[in-house]
Amino acid sequence: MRRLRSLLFCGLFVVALAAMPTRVEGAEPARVVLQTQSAPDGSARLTATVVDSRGAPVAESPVTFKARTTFGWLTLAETTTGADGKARTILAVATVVEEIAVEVGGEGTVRAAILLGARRTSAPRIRPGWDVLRGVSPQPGFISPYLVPLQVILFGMILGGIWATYGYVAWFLLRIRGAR
Amino acid sequence: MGLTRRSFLKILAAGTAAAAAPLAGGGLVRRFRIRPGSPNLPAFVASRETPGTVVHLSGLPNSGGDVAVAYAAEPNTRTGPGEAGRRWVMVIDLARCDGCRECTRACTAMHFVPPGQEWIRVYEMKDHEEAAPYWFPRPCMQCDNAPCVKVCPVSAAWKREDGIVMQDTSRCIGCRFCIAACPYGARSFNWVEPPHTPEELAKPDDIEWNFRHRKGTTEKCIFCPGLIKQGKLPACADACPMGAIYFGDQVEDAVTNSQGETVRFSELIKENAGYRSLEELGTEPRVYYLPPRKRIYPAPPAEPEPATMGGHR
Amino acid sequence: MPRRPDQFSPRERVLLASLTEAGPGFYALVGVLLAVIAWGIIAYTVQLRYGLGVTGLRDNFMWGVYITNFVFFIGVSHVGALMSAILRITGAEWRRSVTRMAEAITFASLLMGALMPFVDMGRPDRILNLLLHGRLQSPVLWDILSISTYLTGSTLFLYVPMIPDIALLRDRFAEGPAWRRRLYTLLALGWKGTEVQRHHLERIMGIMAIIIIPIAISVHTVVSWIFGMTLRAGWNSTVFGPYFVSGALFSGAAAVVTAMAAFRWAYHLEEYITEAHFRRMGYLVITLGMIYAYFTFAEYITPAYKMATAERGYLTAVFSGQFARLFWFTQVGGVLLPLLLLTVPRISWVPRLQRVLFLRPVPALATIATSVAVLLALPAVLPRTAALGGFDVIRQLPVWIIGALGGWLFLTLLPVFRQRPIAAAVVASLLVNIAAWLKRFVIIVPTLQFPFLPIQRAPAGWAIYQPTWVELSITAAAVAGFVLIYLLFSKVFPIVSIWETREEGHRPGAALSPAGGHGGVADAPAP
Repeated sequence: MRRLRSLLFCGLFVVALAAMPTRVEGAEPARVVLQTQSAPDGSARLTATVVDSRGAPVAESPVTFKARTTFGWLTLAETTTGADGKARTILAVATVVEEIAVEVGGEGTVRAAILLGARRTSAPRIRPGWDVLRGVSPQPGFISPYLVPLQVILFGMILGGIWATYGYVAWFLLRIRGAR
Repeated sequence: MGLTRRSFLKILAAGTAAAAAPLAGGGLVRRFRIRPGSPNLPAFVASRETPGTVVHLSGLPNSGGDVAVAYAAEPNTRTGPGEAGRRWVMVIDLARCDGCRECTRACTAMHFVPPGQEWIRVYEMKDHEEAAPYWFPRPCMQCDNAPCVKVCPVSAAWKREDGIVMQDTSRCIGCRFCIAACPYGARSFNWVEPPHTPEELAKPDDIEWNFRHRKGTTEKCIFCPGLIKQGKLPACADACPMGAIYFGDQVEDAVTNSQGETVRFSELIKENAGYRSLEELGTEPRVYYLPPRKRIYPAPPAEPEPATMGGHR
Repeated sequence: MPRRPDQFSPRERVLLASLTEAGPGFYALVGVLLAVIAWGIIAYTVQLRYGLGVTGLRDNFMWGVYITNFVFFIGVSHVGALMSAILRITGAEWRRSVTRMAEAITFASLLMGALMPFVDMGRPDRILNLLLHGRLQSPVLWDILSISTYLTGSTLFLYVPMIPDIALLRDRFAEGPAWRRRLYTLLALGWKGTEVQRHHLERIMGIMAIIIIPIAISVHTVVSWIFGMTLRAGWNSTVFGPYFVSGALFSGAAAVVTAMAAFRWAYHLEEYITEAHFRRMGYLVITLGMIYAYFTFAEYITPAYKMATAERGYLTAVFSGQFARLFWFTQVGGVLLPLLLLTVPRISWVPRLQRVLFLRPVPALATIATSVAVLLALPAVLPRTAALGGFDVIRQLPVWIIGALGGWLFLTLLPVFRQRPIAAAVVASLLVNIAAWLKRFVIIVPTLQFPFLPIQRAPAGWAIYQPTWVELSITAAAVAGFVLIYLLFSKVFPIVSIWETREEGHRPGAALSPAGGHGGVADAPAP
């Protein structure tokens, strides 16, 4: 079912920002269209289609796929287009990206960027309680800023036992006082 | 390539403004994790072709700065959990470190680090008799299995989910157990009232910048979360003239250095036999080192520096 | 039933006299102690004002003398509860005149020990954070919980067997000063020595004697975990818990011996505390000392055999480096010599030593004194030539000579100690206690001198630990505080249990002894 839906949603999404080349020539890339397509296995395929000013595909054109990360652009792949003017790369499963860009042409004159990311990643929030037993560190129970139920129970049993005994002793002391 | 970081960011800003406009929280870019069974890539990215058009960035709104990302605001609580879905990581390429200590200076200047402390300290190391000496910058390792966090009696040190070990100097009681517990010596204590400069006092008392140093409390490197929020590299990484310090998000699997080189974190570690300091202690540091192999910069003098330096820097 | 005041036996009158009679010596001692404490308070005020920077502590040496004091005092506090509880449970009759001394040591020493971490705190003004934000995961919290539990328990353990005595005092001081009358009336809990009351008291003592043992052991174990829970080489030891407990018992038992001798001398308690008591305590100290020596050996031989990189530094420093003198003093002067001194009275060949000419006191002492004087003067006289200074042997020679002279002195004094076993026990126990403090220091500081990453770029003076006058003053004040609390306690309550040391048949709580109380006090002389 999920696979079916996933296939159903395998849409073609395109954003293209094209730059007008300064001079028009036969096989000069003039426009690039970046497409993403999600595969059933969860990976994403990126396809860049490079065309010249008349719309004809440009072959053998160097293409660079880039991903925007927090502090800079990460080169994902550097390839060249095939005869159909398409260059492809695959974003592996579990890749986290915000934007993908493609850059064509020696001077990077032709670019397109596509914006991914509609959903917020659900971060592992550690809340008080049993939650601290799972978490991001190898010893969440000792790292946690919160009370850990297991530790509380342990401490409660030991200290509770001792202080209850003290209470029992105090009660006896009161009985000594009361005894006439 | 010929594509500078800045221009690309501008393109980005444009793309963000245009494409993300239909989104809630205009300009707020959230990230999307591609995972098996994900139904789709986002549908909001409408087909938007502008053939043959030059996009002029100046004409677009929301191009005020380099930063196209607005982080979801975290309440800056003392025990704040940190940036959602991030795992900050640092890689220090020892082959590039020439021991200039620009990182230490930048850090000290940025945080107004009190005298006697070095939050990123550059050691001169020589592992054994036959080994060549090398420089070893040591920030806080932001351990995942942090010994300091475990022993803190009052949660003044805590582990954020983005990996940062944070330190709250307005809660710390000064027992110095964390200093005893830290195997890297990355923690410093304000033994006397730290000198306060007007510049420091002018800054807001923000835990994420570690401003306002207080007598009788412990402090340390915290990966500059204030700068990260602005999309900037931590002060030390940004200041390194050699680009030896990479910083980034392990979830994104990308780290960037001061020279604008962005590389895949996992590949960088794999290809260069990256390691972590004192791995055998199981502290799970978030700082990785690339071995000082084929070093192209001068090594420390063969005779290591005496322990006592006679003054700070 | 408590007897009337005129029914006190002669030795009981002597004991009671110690509560009220205070000579000039007492006031002088209290005055000195108060002065030392006042000086310590001044030092602490300086520390509060300027921060911990006035101490010798620095980033690499984050803990020092204060934590040494903490471990030492908590250690000394152990014996009272543990020794007293074990002796009570096993029904050792000779304990009757020493248990209260031991329990009072626990009380006084625990107060001082618990104070030390707060002196060590950088921000004592934020002490409430421990309650507001306390993390159960931190050994600091374990310490706070266990020490407060132990303090409560040992106070009960001290107080409960005092109730019949307090009732005695209440009756005796019926016409005495008002504060004594009120205090004793309050604390005596209306004790009349009835059957029901005695039954309740027995019950309480049975419970407390059992429960105080695990508490006491756990306290020092938790104290050791302050170190054991860190990764530092030298502290990262699984044996630290029992090691600290054994060291605590050893030093605590020695402290009891010192206290016994002091009170015996000052309060004329020869009737209560006999040579037999010192002998018994000596056996106890010897046993505990051997257990402690075993743990020390186990603690050091395992890393020393392997000489792992991380541990090499502190081990070398401790065995033959900058801490070697301290360490070997704690082992030879703090374990070996005391154990020998305590066994001397039982060694038959000791008197024969006096036949040896160079072991006769007068020539021997004269020679030793001369040698020491020469040795002390030598460095000033000798030219500091490179040829001489370059030889390690020559540099080390004075140490060996002093060691040899010490051995000579020891052999010379052995026959003297044999004739005076109490003096031997006191010297031994003082040595044990001094060495115990130093050993805590040798556990803490050498490890800090050799962290995983070498100490580099430390500002001048930060790469070595040198305690300052502030730390030493506060330490002196803590010792003075301990003595003062102990002293004042002995002025308010009898330092020897009266009702427990009464002879068979007259003892109100005869049935208290689990052994049945038969046979009387084996070592106590008949009154």
